[in-house]
Amino acid sequence: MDNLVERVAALHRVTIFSDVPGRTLVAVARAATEVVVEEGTTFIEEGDIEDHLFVVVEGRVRVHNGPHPLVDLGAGDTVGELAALLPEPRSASATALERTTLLRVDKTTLDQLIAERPALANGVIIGLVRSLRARRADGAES
Amino acid sequence: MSVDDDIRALLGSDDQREVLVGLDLVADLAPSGFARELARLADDDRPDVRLVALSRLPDASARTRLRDEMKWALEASDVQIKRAALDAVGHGDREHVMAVIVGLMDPTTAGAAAGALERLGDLAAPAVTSILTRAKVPAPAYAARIVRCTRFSESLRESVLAPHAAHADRELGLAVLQSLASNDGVSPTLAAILDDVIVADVEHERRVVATRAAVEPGGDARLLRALDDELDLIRQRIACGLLARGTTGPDIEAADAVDARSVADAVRELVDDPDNVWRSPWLRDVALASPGR
Repeated sequence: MDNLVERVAALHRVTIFSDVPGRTLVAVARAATEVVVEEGTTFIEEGDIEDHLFVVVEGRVRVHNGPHPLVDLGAGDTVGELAALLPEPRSASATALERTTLLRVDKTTLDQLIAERPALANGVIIGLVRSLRARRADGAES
Repeated sequence: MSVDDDIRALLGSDDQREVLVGLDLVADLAPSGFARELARLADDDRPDVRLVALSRLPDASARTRLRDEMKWALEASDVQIKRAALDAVGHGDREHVMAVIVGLMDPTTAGAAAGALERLGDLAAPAVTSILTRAKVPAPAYAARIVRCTRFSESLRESVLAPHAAHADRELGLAVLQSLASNDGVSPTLAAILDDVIVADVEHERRVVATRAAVEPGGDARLLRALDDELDLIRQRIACGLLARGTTGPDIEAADAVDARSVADAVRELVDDPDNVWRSPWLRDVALASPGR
């Protein structure tokens, strides 16, 4: 996914970026790092202190505490967004359920975007709340 | 316990965060009532506490000490110290304008720098003029941020910003128009500039609407989205232009969506931009990747 336009389109599918104009997301797309992980690869380890989030572009991942699955995520979802806002030990691990393409967005890039567009902070909060609710609902169902 | 006692308790706390909250509260009240506490904190070992305490002391010797401290604190690698130094920038600190601008480019210090730039007011005029004059298309994102954060006096706002109301970068131009819209009056010179900007924007709106109409039937979703974003930007500009102009803008007819061009022609115009009317690297990139090309 070398194409900038493809990267921006992938970011637009993410709730927290959905209202941000493409011309603004270009900087995020340029700064983001593409990561391809094979099935069974754990790309976030519980307890690690990191300051980036992942956007799932293609594939599926499972968020889990040890052997206990918390939620399965797919294209357009974000993983590890809390760490990108406030770096502290990861609360859960994330493992690819199949070959998965991710975009890694660092805290600095996210901070820059929020500084440019303060209204985005509101979108980030709404996105986080939706995400937490969805995960809680998924957890309750399972 | 009175409010003053509560503040004194905060200023005497071992917790640095509580001390800084106390210093913020002192700024909102009469600093003279806390002179003894402020003098003690002005010698504190913690640089950020020391800086903020010095900035709250009204006497000339404190201002001299603060200036000496600011020289290194604004260059500090510790973000907390740098933020405290930016918080301590006062109304007349002409020598710190560039440090404040640099602080505004860094997201970790942008909040404190925005407050400092606001306090500097008219002193930031030469720096803002220089940044606006140098900015090309696409303009650096911090340029619009600087324009939005600066608080000029009414007369200076017009003289600094009016020459850039028609800036080639429409996003940066929007920041200029937003700032001009906060003026109470409009001079004949600015009115003429704004009329030209509004007419050009309405023309661009028509262009975007027409291109969107040509692309829409079975068109590329990404290109349609980019055109919608452009439409949103241009409509914000028109609204701000009219607001800055006052109630009587130039005559404007409603945008017409009819376009007899083929998708290929519409997209080609976007990509080639022979008349330099689109001036949007992002739209060009999306059009280049469009299957309708």
